[in-house]
Amino acid sequence: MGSVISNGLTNGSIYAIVAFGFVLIYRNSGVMNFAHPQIGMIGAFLFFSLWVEQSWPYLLAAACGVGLSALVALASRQLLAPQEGNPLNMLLGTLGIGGVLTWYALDTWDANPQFVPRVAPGVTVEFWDLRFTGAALLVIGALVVVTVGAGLFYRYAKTGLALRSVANDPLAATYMGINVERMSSITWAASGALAGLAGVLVSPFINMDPFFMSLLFLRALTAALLAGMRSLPLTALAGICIGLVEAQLIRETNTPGLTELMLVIVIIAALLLRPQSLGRRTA
Amino acid sequence: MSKRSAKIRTLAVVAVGALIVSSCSSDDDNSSTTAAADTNATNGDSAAPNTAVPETEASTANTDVAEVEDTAAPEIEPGEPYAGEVGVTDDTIKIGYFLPETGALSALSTDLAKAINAVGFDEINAAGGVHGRQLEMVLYDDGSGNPAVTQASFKDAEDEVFAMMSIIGNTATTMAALAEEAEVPTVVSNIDGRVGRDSMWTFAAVPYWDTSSRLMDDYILSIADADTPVGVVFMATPNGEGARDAFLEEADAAGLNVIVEQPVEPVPATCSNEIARLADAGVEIVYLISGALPGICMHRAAGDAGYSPEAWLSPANGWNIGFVARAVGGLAESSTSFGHAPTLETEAGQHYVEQVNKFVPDAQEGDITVDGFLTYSPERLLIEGLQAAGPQLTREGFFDAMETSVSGVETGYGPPPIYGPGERSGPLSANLWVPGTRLVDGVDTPTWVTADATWHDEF
Repeated sequence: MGSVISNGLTNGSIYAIVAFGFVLIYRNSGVMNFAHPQIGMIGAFLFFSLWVEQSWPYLLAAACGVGLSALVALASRQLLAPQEGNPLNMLLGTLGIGGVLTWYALDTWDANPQFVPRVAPGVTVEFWDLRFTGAALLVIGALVVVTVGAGLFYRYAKTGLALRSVANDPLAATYMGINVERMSSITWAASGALAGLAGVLVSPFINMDPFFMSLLFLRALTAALLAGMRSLPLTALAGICIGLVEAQLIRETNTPGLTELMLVIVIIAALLLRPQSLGRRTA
Repeated sequence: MSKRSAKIRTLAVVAVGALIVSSCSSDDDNSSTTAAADTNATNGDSAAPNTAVPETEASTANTDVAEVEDTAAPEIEPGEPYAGEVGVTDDTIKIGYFLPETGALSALSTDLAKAINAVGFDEINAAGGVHGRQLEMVLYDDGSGNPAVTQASFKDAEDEVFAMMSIIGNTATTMAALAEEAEVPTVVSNIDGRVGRDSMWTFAAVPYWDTSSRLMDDYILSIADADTPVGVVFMATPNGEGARDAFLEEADAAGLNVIVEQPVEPVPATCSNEIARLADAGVEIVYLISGALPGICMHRAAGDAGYSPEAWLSPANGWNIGFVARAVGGLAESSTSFGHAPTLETEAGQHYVEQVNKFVPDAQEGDITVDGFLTYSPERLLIEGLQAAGPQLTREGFFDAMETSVSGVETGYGPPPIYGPGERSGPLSANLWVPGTRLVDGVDTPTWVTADATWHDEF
């Protein structure tokens, strides 16, 4: 049981951090950003190049990777801005951007899998029946910091309050003098940064190629949908629940693809049972 | 233009600039090194320097090592003009060589790897060729086993080359059906036994996974008691499932205690959870039927979980295990693989090392590994067939020669294959080796430890 909890917490934290990016953009602009995994992948590859190939310090390389993802997301938003009133066009636009980013990564780093060394390889924490490596602790810690930090930011920071206002009613926020366009840019950049952070954190756990973040897409999207595409704490909880259920499923069954089947069922159920949760705004 | 828009555009330009910079720096590193080597370099490892050829007791396995220099036959007799065949001239024979130039396994297709892959051809060419004809390697991309890429390449190749070769299992499976239809002789390394046995124009040089799996129960009984908990982890592909079924059938007959049976996918969550399942069940011997990427995933997850079974076993894909070893910076002490080739300590291995040093002077110590037999061993079989087919070379003549003259031949570089009219059993025996770059007491130890150097059909 301890291994189910350890693995579920670690993997679920990764899913949650990826899912945060979906939620941020959706609740602010009503757009499902299908380029989100690729935006994170680009940042992760920059991190890989700087840390592994150029031997930069870990934190500096990670910051550059996260920063690049934020910039790419921001540039994506600017590119798609003329279509902002049309969610379908925006969605198709993000698909296109995702394709371009994948092409870029294939051209630059090719499809050859890269192997990122473990962070803090000598660190292992064991208590009760649980066991966490340094890399796993980093992932779980990041989820806690992001969730709490975002909660405080949205509650107390002036920009955070403005972002909430825009998410609730962009038209009213405009009348109140809030620059909606600026808030949208901030949201996209923050979402991109979270994608980059997820990419950096997950890279030591996976054979890293231009498609590696896409493997997380279904799980992250399910977490976001379970949270109604709105609440970050609920998204974190949903991500961890998915991680735990997945760990238990793999432990109990021999059927390949069962986790994916379960996730698709959950997505369909979420869309059927709570369609109103996706009706973000009426502006 | 507003100031804000200008700022945003500036940011966008910076983003594009950063992408270009990272692109440039990455290009520099993609020229010749493999991903695994890159990672190992970062870790400060010396990646699998398998050229250390210790003096060893003479191998009994390689008494029939064919000396290529002695087997070159006379050129075509004057007055007997060659009738012609696709890919063959009076001076050359074109062989289509399918490699993963794109896709997840493209690390096996660097310029250096290609040069090492060509050593078997270089060797026979330097000795005068086959009946006076030089072998010409024509490279085709298989997209790392991608069926669409392989099919497209095959369509090009079938009208350009005389025969074909491949090293990736999925590629071979795709090629087998096409070779059957086009009647193009194809020599492959790994291939799904259920496909290989029914594909008459395809000649497998490596034991099928299910063949290896039928040997595995005897080997387990030679190292452990029958009640030792065993777990079988397999790729959810026809090849993997066929090998699993073969193993379970033999294990059941032998009374082995198989307590876990589970598929594996190279997804991090899957690997960590599967390792947890093996550990929690108390599995002491893991039979991992997989390619390289799941192997890397599983060994990394095992390291994270502190799971160290008494034995990690794998079927005849030792080259994969070598790849895995370098990618994860060394395998556990208990890793063992059934191999399709002798190790480098043997007479055949030393001959191979000599040839690589001779024809690929750029190869460093760590570049010459037993993985090279993945290509060298099938090349030796192909050359045997070409020699036997005679100077009036036709595809049908080569086909007949493979069935009649190559079947059962002990080249020393791989287990003797069994081919015949309607029969493609392939090699029925395997070698056993422990891969290089092992972890001994937590320290990478770049040595080869050979458990055995003879072909076994039982242990």
